[in-house]
Amino acid sequence: MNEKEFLYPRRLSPAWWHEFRKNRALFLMLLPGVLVLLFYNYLPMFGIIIAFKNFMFHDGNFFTSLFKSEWIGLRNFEFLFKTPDAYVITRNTLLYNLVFITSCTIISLAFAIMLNEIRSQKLSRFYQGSMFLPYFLSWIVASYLLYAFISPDKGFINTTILKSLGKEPIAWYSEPKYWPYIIVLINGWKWIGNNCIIYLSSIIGIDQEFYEAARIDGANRWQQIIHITLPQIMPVIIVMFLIFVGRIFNSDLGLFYQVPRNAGMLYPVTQTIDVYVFNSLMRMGDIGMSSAAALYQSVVGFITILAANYAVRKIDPDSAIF
Amino acid sequence: MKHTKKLVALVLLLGVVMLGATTFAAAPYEIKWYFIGNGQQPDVKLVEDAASKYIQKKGLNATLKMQCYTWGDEYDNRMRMIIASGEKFDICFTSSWANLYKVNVARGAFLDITDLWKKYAPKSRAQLHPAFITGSAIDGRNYAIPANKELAHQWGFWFNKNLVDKYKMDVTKIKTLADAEPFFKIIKEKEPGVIPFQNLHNENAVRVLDFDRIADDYIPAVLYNDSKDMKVLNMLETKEFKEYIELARKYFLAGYVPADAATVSEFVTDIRAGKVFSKIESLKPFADEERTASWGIPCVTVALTQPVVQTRDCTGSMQAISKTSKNPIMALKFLELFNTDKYLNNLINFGIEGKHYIKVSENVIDYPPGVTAQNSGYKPGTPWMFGNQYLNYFWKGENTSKWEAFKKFNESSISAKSLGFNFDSTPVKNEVAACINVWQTGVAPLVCGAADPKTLPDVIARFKAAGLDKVIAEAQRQLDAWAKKNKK
Amino acid sequence: MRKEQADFNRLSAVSGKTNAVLNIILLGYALICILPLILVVAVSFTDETTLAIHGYRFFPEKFSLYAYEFIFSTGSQVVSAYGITILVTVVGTLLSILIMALYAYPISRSDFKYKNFFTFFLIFTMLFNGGMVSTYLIGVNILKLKDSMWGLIFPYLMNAFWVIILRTFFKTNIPDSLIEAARIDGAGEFTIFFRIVMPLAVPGLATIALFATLQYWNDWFLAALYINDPKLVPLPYLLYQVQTSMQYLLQNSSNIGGMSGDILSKMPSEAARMAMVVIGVGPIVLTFPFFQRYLVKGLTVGAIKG
Repeated sequence: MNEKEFLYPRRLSPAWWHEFRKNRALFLMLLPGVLVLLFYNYLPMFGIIIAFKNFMFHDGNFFTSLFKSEWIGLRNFEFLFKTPDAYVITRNTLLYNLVFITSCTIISLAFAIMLNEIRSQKLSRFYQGSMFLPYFLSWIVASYLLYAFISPDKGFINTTILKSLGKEPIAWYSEPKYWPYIIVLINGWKWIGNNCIIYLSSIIGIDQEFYEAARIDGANRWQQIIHITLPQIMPVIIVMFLIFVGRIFNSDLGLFYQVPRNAGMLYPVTQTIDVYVFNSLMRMGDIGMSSAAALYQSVVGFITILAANYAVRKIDPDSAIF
Repeated sequence: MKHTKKLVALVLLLGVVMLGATTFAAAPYEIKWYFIGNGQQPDVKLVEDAASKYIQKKGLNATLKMQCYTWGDEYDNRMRMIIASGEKFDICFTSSWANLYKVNVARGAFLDITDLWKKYAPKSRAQLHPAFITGSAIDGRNYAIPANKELAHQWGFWFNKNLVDKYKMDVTKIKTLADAEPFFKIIKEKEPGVIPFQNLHNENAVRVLDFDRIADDYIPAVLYNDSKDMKVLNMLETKEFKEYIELARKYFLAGYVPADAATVSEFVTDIRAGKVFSKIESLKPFADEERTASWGIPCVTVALTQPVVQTRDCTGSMQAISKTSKNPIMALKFLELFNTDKYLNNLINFGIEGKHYIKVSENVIDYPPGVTAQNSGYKPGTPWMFGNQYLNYFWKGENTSKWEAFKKFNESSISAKSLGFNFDSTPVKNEVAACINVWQTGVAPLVCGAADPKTLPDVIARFKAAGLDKVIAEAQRQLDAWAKKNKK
Repeated sequence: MRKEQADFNRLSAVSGKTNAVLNIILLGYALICILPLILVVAVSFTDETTLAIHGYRFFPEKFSLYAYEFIFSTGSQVVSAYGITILVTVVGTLLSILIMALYAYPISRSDFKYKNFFTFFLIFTMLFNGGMVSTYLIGVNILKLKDSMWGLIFPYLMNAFWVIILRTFFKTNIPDSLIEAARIDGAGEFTIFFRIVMPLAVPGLATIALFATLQYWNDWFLAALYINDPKLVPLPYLLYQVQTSMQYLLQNSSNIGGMSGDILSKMPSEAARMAMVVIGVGPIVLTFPFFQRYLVKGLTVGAIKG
């Protein structure tokens, strides 16, 4: 009998109990979060069934109604594909998201590094705070502000800038060709400050010793950035990227519906899956169809994030999410 | 001894049971009522208490609990959640534009009151113009009680009287949209800051065509109001529509219509600032008076269509009984009282006499001294919605012959041929969803003239690709079946 | 320590020229971000009719406080709404930071066997959702969130995205050796967490705390779902109610007859909208400098090295 067996005589305790005791502090830490998720996120997931049913009330009780409603398989999903706009909305959603993630990441990173480099801490904090402000404003307010600029007859650009240049006023809300740029710019304006803060805090957390060592080795500031800062915050960059990829089929209604004011002539470049679903289902109130749309977006996002995570795992296992 | 004990116990038991039974029987039923308006008013409890006392006096063992949600998204979103989650309540406001009547009936949320109505709220039923009853029926069954108010709708011009007088325009000569052109021209030349014709995409002049949109407001499957062959048409392919968009385009290019008409939906601000000369409005007796009060600009109205009653008009304001109600009969009895009792109706509409209003004469009221529209503790803003407008008091300044005028207006109207027909979109719901989307993005720019009429064929093609023909065919099929059943 | 940092910075800082260029770029972008907010404030103080005639201007054509009067005319409700919002924000932020950090720590530990499982458990909730109706049902019937402060706090206690960010911060900024050393010294997991990990992760915690504060402060969605009692209505929801009903009345005349219009005739819609933004966002913008104090380089690295 060795020492261990003397101290912990073999009993009929199962392996999982042993595991639990070993890690019990960590499990305890996880507990509150797990409970919240379980109750608020997992428990309601039975609602996904609505997507496959033709929901009708039967007894004034949601559960019995759901149970008794007719199963119609994938019929609720059809409206997403049968529309002549199916290609356009999918293309728009995907392309915009790809442009968003690349543009926002690159610019936010650049700004974060810059903020870390400039000499005056006070100024750095001022810039940081200002950049973050657009995040406070809701999309409705942003749409009014944009309108103040590009309204065809009252807007600042048409009445002041173009007039002084002697050019004709542009009917902004009727010309699709400007809007991809407008949307990308506005999205950046809203999110760059937010992303920048995340990158900045992670840059701040980098151990100064690394920089010390590099400086002693004779590296200049630029080299330090490339060889220390970037690699050190790469996990954060990758994580942000992966999470974004999980929402690749989603879009922000505020940006694509309210900002362009749902202008009909702009739809080829402003209509995304969410806008289409919102427009169609607003009058119909069909929870089966809206549930189906949400499920469709979730499944695609899920597959994409798994694929991306798998790819990342091959390159750098530590950076992968799971 | 033993027997006595048993007897005492029995008597006690009986006593307890009877006590329990009487308290149980005596507990008044709480009627829960959801409706739309200016939001939950601060003094609503006072009104609830007064109302509860009154209805108990009238023999209904019940108390009233009211919950008001605000205009726009709030009421719709809240009711959607409340109904979807199967919450127990009794009455809710429903209509063709909020807490959609058809949608809720299709999902089985409302109680079928066709027979109950006749039994427990007969007077409410009798006082309605028969069109209300047939118009709000779905497949012959009624699921909500319409409010007794103006029945027909009529489209016409709203003119800014200040400008009309200034340029001495004889607007009474105007009979069609085209007739108004010379007046627009005058305004465009002489008043540079004013919009001659506010033809926005959401309050659009296309309504003057007065098609009967039998499927949905956003689907161009229409019928003529006086259709002789009951044939469902694609509105975009009709002669009238093509002519209209040419005219709209002409006005747009001439600068009579705001350049952002296709995207802006808020029109009141400009009107109130005096920047608008004309727009198309829905008219009814004394509409000019009402608009002047709301917008602060004196006006002149000119009718362009005759009064017509379509199904939509009958479902403009109704109270439905929820299937989850524990005592629908009590709720119906309450509604009966509400629709016929002058005191109760005005209590809920205007509040408590002396506190929220004072009587100026028998039927006219005004704010008590110190109270205004803004600081009044009870102002739900809902007289037209509640029950029976003919019972309402008039605010000081309102024309007291309004109700008689309404009655005359209702009588003089013609009923659309499809009155009473309600389209069930379930068999073609995918196509309907796709079509609604095409409407939202394609029709709006056309009807305000922002898009060139040459693009009309494209929009028609998009509708076809979205399955409009299938919807029209289904609508025709349902219409024919309904017509046959009702021997039209 | 500040002096140390300053010394260090001077030794390897960027050249004066580069510094100037960087400043110009950042200043330019900062202005683009600030100006719209200034415009919002300006419009909120402008007289309504001049807005309709002249549009938005940085300097009000005609100064007016009417928009604010109009909003505050509801009187006591605005005050109670502020109170609720402050309470919910403070409690919600503190509680959620704690719960999220406690969750993020175990999954950041490379020697924790179940980290992948729990990470997946977390991320799955970000991707899949049971839908508003079923969430509402559970919220009302099981969690008793209706007409309760919990309804405004509970749903946001765990945000998958932020937990992952925290996890990544823990992972990269807290060397394993540190934890090992502590363990050898006999420290329990909780001690390690509170004494070592949390202090080192302050920048990350401050960032997430900022986001959480913003979310709780600005949220009207939860109130729209769960709150009926006017005493529990938070500020953003109050403003939302005013705004949507205003918007609706401005876009629709045909559906609404009768004298509900007389309220309409006095509404300063454009200015009021902007005033609502100022009222809603103003206080929180002012707290931003408070958070910035924590977004500073390694406060306690020196202490550990010592």
